[in-house]
Amino acid sequence: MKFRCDRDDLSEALQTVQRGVSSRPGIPALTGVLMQVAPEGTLTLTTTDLEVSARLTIGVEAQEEGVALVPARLLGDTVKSLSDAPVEFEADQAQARIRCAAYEGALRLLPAEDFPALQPPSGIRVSVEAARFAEGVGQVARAASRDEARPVLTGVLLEVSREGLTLVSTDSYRLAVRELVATAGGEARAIVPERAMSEAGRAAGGMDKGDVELFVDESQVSFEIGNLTLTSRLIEGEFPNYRQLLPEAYESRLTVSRQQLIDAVHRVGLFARDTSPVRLEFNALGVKLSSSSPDLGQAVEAVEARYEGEDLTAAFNPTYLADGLAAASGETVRLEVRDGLKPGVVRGESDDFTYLVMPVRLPTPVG
Amino acid sequence: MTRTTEPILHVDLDAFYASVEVLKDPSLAGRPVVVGGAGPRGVVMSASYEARAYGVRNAMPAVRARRLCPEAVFLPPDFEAYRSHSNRFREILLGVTPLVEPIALDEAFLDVGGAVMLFGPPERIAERIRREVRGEVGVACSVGVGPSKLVAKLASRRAKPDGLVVVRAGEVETFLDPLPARAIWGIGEKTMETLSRLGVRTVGDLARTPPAVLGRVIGEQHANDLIRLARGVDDRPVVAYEAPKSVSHEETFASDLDAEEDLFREALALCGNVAARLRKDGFRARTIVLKVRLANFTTLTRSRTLSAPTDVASEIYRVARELYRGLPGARRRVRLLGVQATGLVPAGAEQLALLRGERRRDVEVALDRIERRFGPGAARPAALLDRRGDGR
Repeated sequence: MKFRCDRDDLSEALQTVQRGVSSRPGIPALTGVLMQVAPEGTLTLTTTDLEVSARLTIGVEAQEEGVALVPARLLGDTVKSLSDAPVEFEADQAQARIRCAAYEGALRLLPAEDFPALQPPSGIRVSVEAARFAEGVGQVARAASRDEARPVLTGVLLEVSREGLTLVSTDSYRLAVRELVATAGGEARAIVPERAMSEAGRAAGGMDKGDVELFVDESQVSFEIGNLTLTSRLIEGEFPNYRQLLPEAYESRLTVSRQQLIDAVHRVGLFARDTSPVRLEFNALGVKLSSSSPDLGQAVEAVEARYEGEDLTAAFNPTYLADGLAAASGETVRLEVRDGLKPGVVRGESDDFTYLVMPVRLPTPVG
Repeated sequence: MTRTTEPILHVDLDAFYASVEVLKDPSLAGRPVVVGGAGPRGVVMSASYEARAYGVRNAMPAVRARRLCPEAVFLPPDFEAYRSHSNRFREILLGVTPLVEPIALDEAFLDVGGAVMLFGPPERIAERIRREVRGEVGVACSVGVGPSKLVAKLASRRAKPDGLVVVRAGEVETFLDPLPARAIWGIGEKTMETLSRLGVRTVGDLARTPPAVLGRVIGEQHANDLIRLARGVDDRPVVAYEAPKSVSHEETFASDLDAEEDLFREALALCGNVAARLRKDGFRARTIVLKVRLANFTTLTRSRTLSAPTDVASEIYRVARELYRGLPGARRRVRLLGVQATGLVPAGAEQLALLRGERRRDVEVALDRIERRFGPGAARPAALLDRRGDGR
């Protein structure tokens, strides 16, 4: 195989296909990027760690069709460091030659026949606007669990219906739900590893306009994002019934400048450690945040806001709370609370996003 | 080598809860502040010196305190804040010597017999502690220095508020003699009544009472103890508290077990004990260790560190079971099974969970309460109901 292309195009493409995929898959063939040149002038790059795979096609000046499995890391690093000039790539059975300006390198190849065959996208098709999709993934991904002990919670639930696409994640301490307008060919539920989901969201965020196409079947989901196809295995198991966790409207509600509250949570939260929360005291003037730690000290900050409801106090893990505030959209944010033991609900200016955060139980006063 | 005959310090924070409330809300400074339970049966837990001026005392019914000092600010206790200030207090003490015996959140004994070589005589150490506590905890404290715990404790009481009293070994008698006999530990209202009938009013009176006379009324042992204390003889050492490093339970079986279900049942019981202990002591464990001794006395241990520390039996059990399944070999006869929780961190405030599965802890806490009330084993996992050795 032989082709010529722009250095930036190739470098960017290599980085894209390497990102979503584990860098230490344990099987030699999986450390490679499969490069396929087609006579009509395309180069297709494929990587996989058997969990997630990425496939990207770019236009090149094709001189000879063919296939090569090239060590991905070395190739990526090489191309990234080349000077800004056209790149010539030529591979035979054993090695690949790269020429660019005065540089010439030869990389040993991996046996292309060892590279696994990947399943093409299949199943129910869903179209969603790329920018909205990227935004939605960004809103829910943080709430997914990092604890491998409960695999189901390490994923993002995709709920596909005729009305749209819902993205849900929870680590059992908070829950993020985003509803997206989408057109779908049927109904489906799938739990996608957070890593793959975030990668898809990121790629979708890089698109100027257009839609992301999703294909959901029993065992995998594919995202077609421009010229990139990301495919991920699904996580097996039953996702918690999140709808029953969503509370009906609360009577106590704080309406506050989103940025002001985020900043205050962050500042005051610097004194909160693993086990000590940030305390929020809601009253007619707004909300008073406070936090203390035996070895660090304490901080208090009052944020003026509109509060409708009875005076009450609730304490939250500052990171969980700030994640929710950051994920909501708009200038102002609503924080609905019931008491110190029920979840707080964060809502942005639009109704399509809901974030629940469970409080930290404060010691019960005696008497 | 420097030696001291007065190595014992008793450090007591002044009106601790009330002082912390003033720190939390500086506008309370200079006002009478009372911390206590609300409701008709609440009692005063702490009163600022301004409130004490009105006659408000600890353990007094809150209703009465309100009558004595209606203008006082009454607040419910905020143990989270007290604990965090207390932790800092303890750190300061531990900066002087490891020989710190905490008595309460606001009170501790120190044995500075060794620390004098580093920091100078006990009174200088006491001043240093008072300075640091005021500067870093923000609360005034009183320190008593003496040759024994009893004398140090009584000296700190004399030092209040915000003072230091040193009682030299040679002055113990003059210090103790005029104090009311009630000042001695172990003399309650009842004993005091008896003593009064014998004409014993002061510690000095008590010290001079023949043991045989007192022994006839309150029992020989008690009489001897009280008289010794009244003479200033108190040789109880300062016992340093050490946070536990791990909690473990293990069991050697009457006959070796080989069926996995039997082993898992035993493991469930052990995990329950470990978790209950963790909750009782206020810790969570980061690492779970499983110990398995086989019939041939080979001992296998396996451990796993969790993503978040736990004090929940079902969680510990899940890990223990996975560790067991990861052991080499298929069938094995097990002589002993042990579960250990290490990497302990203070439990602190509790993050609540949304999902039912995560509410397992609530169930276990409820079981703790049932056991406290009805005795061990009053409620337990169904799997343990027909456990062997229960004498069912």
